[in-house]
Amino acid sequence: MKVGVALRLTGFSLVMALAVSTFVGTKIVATHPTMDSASFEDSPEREEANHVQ
Amino acid sequence: MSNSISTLLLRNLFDVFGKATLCRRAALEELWNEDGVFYDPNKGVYRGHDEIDRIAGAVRATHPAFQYQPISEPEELGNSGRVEWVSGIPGQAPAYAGTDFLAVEAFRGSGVSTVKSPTCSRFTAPRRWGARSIIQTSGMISPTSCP
Repeated sequence: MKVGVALRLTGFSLVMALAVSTFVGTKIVATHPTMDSASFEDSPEREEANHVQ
Repeated sequence: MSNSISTLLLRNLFDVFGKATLCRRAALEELWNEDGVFYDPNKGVYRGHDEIDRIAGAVRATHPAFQYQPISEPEELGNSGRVEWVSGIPGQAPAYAGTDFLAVEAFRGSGVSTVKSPTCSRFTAPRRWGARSIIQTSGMISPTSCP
């Protein structure tokens, strides 16, 4: 009896462990900001781009 | 934890490109693929956490008092999305405006996904941006207490 309960608990724990240990999510692979042409002239992005180049 | 595309758009805007070093790096590693690519408006290409961290910090350093504010709710289409925003000093007229386009990819991980800096609280109430009408979405993410 005790062995059966122990085995069930063990099996339940294994299933829970698998459920918790594997997950699917989403992550960013690419971004691209576009800016109003007028505002881009004075933007930090423009300043930094000029600096890097 | 799985972030929706809308959440990724807003958190990328606020926590990666709107934050100082510590919080930015933590958010970057949580939100971005290791080999993710940032294409800047001037055709610069930055790949991976280190390069994106550097360019985000450099952009931030040019106008540290500026903050981003979405002017519409993020839009999702397939595995991509976009959000329109303005930037400038809060309480003043926005200095410039733009749109972020973003692509995501599903990943499978192991362990419990709780990558988060203890110093970076993420969800706070949005603030009004001067007289300009700002879309207020439920659960919108805004600048936090990070430096």
